Amino acid sequence: MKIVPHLIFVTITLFVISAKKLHAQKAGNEIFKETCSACHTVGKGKLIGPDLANVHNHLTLDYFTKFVKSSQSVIKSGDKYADSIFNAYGKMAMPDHPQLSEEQIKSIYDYLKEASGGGAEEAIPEEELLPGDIERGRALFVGNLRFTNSGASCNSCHNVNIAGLITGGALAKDLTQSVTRLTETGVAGVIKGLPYPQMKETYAMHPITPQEVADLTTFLVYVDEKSAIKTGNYTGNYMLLGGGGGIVFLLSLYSFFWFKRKRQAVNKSVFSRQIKSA
Amino acid sequence: MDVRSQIAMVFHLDKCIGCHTCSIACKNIWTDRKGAEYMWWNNVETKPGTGYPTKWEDQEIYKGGWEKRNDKIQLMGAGKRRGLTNIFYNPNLPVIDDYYEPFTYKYLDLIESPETDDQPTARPVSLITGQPIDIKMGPNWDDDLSGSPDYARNDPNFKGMTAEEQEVMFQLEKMAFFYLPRICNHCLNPACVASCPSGAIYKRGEDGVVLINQEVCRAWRMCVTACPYKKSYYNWHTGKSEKCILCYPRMEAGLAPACMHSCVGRIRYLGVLLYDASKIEATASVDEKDLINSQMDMLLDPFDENVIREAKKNGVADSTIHAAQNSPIYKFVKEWKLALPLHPEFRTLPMLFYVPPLLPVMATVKKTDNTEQQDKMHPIAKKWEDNWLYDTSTEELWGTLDQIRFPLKYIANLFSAGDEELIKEKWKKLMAVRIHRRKVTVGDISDEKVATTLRDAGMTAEEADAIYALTSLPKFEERFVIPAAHREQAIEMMDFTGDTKGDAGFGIKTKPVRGI
Repeated sequence: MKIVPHLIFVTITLFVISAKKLHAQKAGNEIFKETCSACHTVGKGKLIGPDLANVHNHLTLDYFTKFVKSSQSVIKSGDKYADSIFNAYGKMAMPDHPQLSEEQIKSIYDYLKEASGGGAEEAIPEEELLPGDIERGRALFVGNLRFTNSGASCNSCHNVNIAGLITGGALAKDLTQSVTRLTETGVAGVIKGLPYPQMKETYAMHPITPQEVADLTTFLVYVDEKSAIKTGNYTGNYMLLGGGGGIVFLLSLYSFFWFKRKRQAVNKSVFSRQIKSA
Repeated sequence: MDVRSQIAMVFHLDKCIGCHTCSIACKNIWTDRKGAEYMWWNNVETKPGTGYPTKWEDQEIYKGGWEKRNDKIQLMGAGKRRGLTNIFYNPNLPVIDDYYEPFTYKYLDLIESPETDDQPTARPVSLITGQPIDIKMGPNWDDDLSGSPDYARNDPNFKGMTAEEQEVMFQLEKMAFFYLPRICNHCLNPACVASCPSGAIYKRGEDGVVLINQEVCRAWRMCVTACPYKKSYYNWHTGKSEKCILCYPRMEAGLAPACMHSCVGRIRYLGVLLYDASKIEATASVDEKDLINSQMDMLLDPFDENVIREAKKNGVADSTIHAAQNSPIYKFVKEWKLALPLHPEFRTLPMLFYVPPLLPVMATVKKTDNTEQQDKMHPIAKKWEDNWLYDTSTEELWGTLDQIRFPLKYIANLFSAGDEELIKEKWKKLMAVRIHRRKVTVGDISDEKVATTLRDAGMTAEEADAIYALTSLPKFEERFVIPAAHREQAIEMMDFTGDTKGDAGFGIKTKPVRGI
């Protein structure tokens, strides 16, 4: 009679363990898709970061784990390889991933090893980029059009320098030349995958839909092409100079207008002769 | 004719001893508050001197009062266009250093100091910042300093006088000064009222007292600039401007204003004048030389039946008309023509009149032979080598008027917009009264000479006696003829009192929105 509870306990325990293990295995491609695919491909060429095919051939698991956890500390430690990668990819450090456990990183490593052989084609099907609309992208960027899931509009933090658009925030990177820097796929990948902690936090509860990603990407491509820097109409410094000139003009206008003002106390000459105590 | 009543004043400058009791009485009652320490609604200045605030008479600096342009008068430093363009930055305001930084002493340090080798001292501290300061100035810093280069020689009233004429005034033997007590003039054409962008300043209908409504004042400070007498002050603590209120709460109770009541020399007179309000604009706009005569023409005879009828039609109370008939002001200003307004050229039509001081005129210095006197002295006594005599004799009276110690021009710049003849006329009258009284009391002057001087001054012996009586022997009720207030009638003109019947007494006091 006493064997039944024991059996139940063992069954549940086994089930939990196997489920966990199953999850860990499955996580390899899942985690890659969630966390890495915004910037990296396997055998599809470089995006923002390098192509990770055959990464197991020249990086040990140890080094890989350290790098994924905090690439920036590796770079700072003066590691030559890390530094060369950092320089080769526009001096943009990979965001740290302290949330990933060593087990999870190992599963990514394993997945990469597996996928380098060509087996990963099915795991991550190539997503066709939907056709985007510039005007909709612009409206989303500025916030005239609300994101489907109520995410914050881009220009709260980002700025693009293009005629007819209000200046955006200065909190995050200027996106005027984002496509030049990251390529179109890269930009789409970033918007989709949100590899930066701040953006991840911001849009965690408000995911961006594929159509919106397409619209924004199209808009940013458009901005990159038409951006004022390229066409030579960049007005940033002129604005600053104009502002300074305006101040000087206004001050001189005021001093002209109030030239005959009472400039000092009538008693000043008397006071200036008075002896002062220390 | 639009007859209205005005509480007007006369200050008899020959009687002022410069004791500042008036200033202290006023300060104790009204301006002994935070933010008001530097204000002296009543102040006494030494003339020649620069006054308080320094050089207030120089409108090149402060831009106060009215100026005449193309037959019309407009405010010099405020008004509609200038006021609006300068509303956020008023370029002609006096600063605290133009008045003085108010101070007190840390008296408590004298008592609470621990025992040391030295005497404890009470250091001066600013009443604005609370920090120890060097006292640089006070409201009467130039008191009695007639010849001082900083004050007397910077007096703006030397306008039109040559350097020699000015220098003569500061020769040690000729040096003289007199006192000029000043309060708000409660003008008939007040520049402060005209300048206020908030409409907070008004002239009370029943007695002409000019007041600032503390609930309406928005601290634009245009009145501070506009008042040529600089008698509107900005309270930095409450953020409102304040000025002399002619102690209206006292007057409504039948009491004289505090400064007048406390006056030691009894120089101050207060009473009602009736005037024709329809003439205000025309009077203020005449040429400078006609200003005084024009202002005198505005003042109406309270015994004239026509005037009384018009006054009653305008709601002037019988008691007020009666007070106007007994008014010492009417006698001094209109009947005897002895008093003049201060700086009529500011065109505000002041209702405070001054009897110009005669005192410095009386004496001259002349060379005499002192040998007889010196021979009587002890051999070791100090013998003065100069032989000047301070001559107060009344021989050659009209001769002395031309050799006066104060140039006529100086007094004329103060009281008659530069008209020396007008001052001469007043002085002749004052002198005639003295000669007449000298004959009565001392008897060393011939009847013939007295008759000549009286005729010359255009007055009778009775008139001279009346002037003497009101100048030297007046009782309280003769100096201050204050009409019953009739405040309720004034209120009824604006509001229906039935609306507030029963509201008086117990109730809710509304707090002021700003300050205090």
